Amino acid sequence: MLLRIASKELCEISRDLHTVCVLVIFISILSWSCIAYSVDWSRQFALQSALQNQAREAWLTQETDSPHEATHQGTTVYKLPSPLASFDPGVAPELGSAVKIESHRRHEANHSTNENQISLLQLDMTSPALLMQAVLPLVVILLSHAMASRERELGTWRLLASFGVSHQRLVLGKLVALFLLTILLTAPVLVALLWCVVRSPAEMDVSLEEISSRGAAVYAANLLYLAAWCAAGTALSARFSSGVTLIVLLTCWAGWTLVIPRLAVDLAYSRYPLPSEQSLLEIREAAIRQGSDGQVSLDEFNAELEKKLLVDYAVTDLEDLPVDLNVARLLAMEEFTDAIDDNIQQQLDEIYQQQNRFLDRFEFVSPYLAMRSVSSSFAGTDRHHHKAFVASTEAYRRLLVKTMNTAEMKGERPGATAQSAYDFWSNVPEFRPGFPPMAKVVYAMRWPIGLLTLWFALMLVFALIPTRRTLA
Amino acid sequence: MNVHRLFADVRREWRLAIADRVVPLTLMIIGLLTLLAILAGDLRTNQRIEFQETLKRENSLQRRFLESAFTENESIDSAAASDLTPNEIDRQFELQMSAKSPDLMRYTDGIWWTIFPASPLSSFSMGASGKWPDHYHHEGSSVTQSLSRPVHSNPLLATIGAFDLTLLVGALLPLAVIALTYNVVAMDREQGRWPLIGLHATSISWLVANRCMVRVGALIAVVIGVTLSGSLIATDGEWNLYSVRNFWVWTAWMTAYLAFWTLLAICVNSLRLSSSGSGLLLLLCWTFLVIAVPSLVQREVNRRFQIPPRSELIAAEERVQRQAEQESEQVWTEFLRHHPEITLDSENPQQEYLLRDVALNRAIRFRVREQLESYQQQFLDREAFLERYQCLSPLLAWRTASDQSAGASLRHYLDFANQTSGFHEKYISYFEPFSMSGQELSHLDIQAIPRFDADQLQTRLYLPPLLMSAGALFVWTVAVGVFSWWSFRSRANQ
Repeated sequence: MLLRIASKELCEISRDLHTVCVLVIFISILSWSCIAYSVDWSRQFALQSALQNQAREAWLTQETDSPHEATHQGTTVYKLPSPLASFDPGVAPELGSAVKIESHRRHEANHSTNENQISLLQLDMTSPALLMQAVLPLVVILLSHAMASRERELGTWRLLASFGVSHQRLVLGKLVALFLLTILLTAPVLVALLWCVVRSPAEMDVSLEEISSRGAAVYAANLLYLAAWCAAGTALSARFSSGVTLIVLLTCWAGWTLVIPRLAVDLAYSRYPLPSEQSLLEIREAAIRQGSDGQVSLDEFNAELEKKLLVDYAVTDLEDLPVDLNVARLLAMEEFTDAIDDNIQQQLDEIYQQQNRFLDRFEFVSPYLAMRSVSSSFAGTDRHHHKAFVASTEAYRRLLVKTMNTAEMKGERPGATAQSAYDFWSNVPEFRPGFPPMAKVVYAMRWPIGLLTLWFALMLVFALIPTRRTLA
Repeated sequence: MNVHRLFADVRREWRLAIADRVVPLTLMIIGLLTLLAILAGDLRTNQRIEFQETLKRENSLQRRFLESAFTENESIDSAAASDLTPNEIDRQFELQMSAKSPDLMRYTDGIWWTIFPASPLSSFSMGASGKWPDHYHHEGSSVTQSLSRPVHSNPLLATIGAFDLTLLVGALLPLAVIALTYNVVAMDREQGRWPLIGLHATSISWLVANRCMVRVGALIAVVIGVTLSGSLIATDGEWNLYSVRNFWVWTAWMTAYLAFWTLLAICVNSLRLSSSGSGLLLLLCWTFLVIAVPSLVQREVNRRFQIPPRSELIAAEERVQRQAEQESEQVWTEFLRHHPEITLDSENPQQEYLLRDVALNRAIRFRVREQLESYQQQFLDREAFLERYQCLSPLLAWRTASDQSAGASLRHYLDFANQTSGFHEKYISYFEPFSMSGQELSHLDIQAIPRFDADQLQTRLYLPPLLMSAGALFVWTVAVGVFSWWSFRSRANQ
């Protein structure tokens, strides 16, 4: 009976020319979006890979013969876009994609893709993820608002009830039909996600299992969110007239998608403002000038280094050291500036965390916000993934500086031939960005996923409980 | 129809509208959302004002540090000195060292901040303020470094966007108009009252138009009322004549924008569709005009105008610097040709060294200015393109007017950046005659250092884009109005 009701609903929808037109337009737009964003992704990936190779080549063929000078000239590392970024670009285009690596200075990621791009009221919903999460619910509203109310208004609901069809079965049948149609509408995304998994590049250092499980998770989460919209539409349609259902669903959509997320972001940033760039720079400069930032001091690092060198070289006096102490002190200076940078970064991270925690509270009132978090997180395009990238660049910077300064301290130099110089600079390995494992992402997203599941369960129960109106 | 009859019709429709639960509920929700948008905007503006106050204080402190180099005890008064932080004390020492030397003053950074003040209407629209700074910091002789933007930004604010009145009026009020008007005819028809109403009404088109206008009129009144009172309270009524003019522009464009949606609703109601049919058609129009067209225009604009990142400009300045250094002899000869009044003292090699530095610096600044102008021009070209295409959607036309009246359009921010670059030039040039004549700076010279003034930039209106926006709204409104009139006429004849 359930399948019969569902197939009857699908049959009815397929007979409505206007609805079919809307569905075809939506599928076409979604397909275009998947292709356009995949092409953009490929272009971006090729560009970043080429820049990364150029930077590496420049490092390996540099002309200086001083390892310490090489740390000052430094290099640049580039962020490769996440394989699933073509589905959900998230906040990645707003964050930097290149980091300058040099000694004494931790640089922020710059060169954001969207730095100079125009944004018209931030209403761009052309990415596959936003089409699924923001526009597809509108199509679901269009399909569902009259699904049950029309039956009631025409009197066929009562007729079906007289044949012994229960309210639950009837609603569930309509819900199944609506959900199947919704899955059909997301078909281009499924194909695009499969393509993302297949073309997953070797340079990324991410396993096929990791990408496929992330792709599956992001698709499943989107379906859960859409299923909840289907249930909400069917539930309201079973209780109210088509017009009232339409108004209520539209109000919810506008509130959850346009109003609450923007208000939440606005409030979060007003409540926890970020310090100005200048003030952070001043803190750093003052700490370096004074040899201490109140928590760490250069003298401590120097003392520790001297102690370590005395132990390492088994001598009792610093003058007996076989290495240049002045060069060795560069290592201590580097550790000192690293510690200052860590303290500043920690302050910044704390503010970001406070903002995120504040935003997380709004996920209780807007499932769309929860969906955005889950989607961009699984796609690897959220702030956490960017933080992991920045952390790996910083680890790489420290490795590069330490390797080169140690070589300087020991008096090692690139050889006279091109090949020996190449081998010398190759002591600094190639940069490999960090990518948080799936398990970590699932753990971080446990609350939004729980909220989405809860929202779906509530809507389903709401749809299945009969009312006096539907019983009448 | 006489005025008395007109008022009677409006009164009757208002009574009917207010009896419909949807109308007061929608008005209440919109009133609340308007208030929220004002409050959110006010939070942003207050934060901006507070930050700018600290920058102004810093500007005046820097000047006091400079001036203190000429006082007897070379320190600012003891009461103020006791409040100084260790950083400020270091800074005071640094500036006292530089204050008398025009050559050092040309290179000492951090002496000024330029500030783009918030207009009293800046809480109305976020505009370009999320991506463009409202303050710049002096970075020595480098103009591109001085015009750099902060790296720490809020990525979510950039992707999700702020909740402001531009969004409320542009995207949410049309939804409210749809909710209030989609069934003004269909409901009566579905409940069987329409033949009776049609019998008593003198004109069906007037009846439908009256119903829609009364509802939307109430909506406009609520929005204007809440906005005006909210922003007057938030700004303590500190509006000047320009602010009042900009508020009138905002109100007029909002009314025109909603008039378009009202006429669209009247047009759809004239098609004799069911409630759901009318609602869906209006919703499709909304999706097309508010979501689809702006998204596609945005994509196309970004595809066409791929403006390189600002760091490219900094790299270009470095290239120019290297090139000018390579051509230093040529630059020096050119400089001497332009300044025949200069006579070099062969016994003073320091003089030639300093003059060569002035010459090189000028040449670099001149070449960088060209690069900077062509870089800024790319933004202006993009704006001009976008302004031409705002006729594709009334939302785009509304956005232009709203950003302009709030003093938050990209043109405002570009002008501010240009004013800052002009000020940078003026500031550096101020010290050059002193360098050329080898003269030390006096207390009076320090007091006469140029000061930045944004010159009411925040309330400026740029007429061409505004007129194009008005034209676009007018064309859309007239087109929909004519179609509604034709639709009523053709159906009345059937």
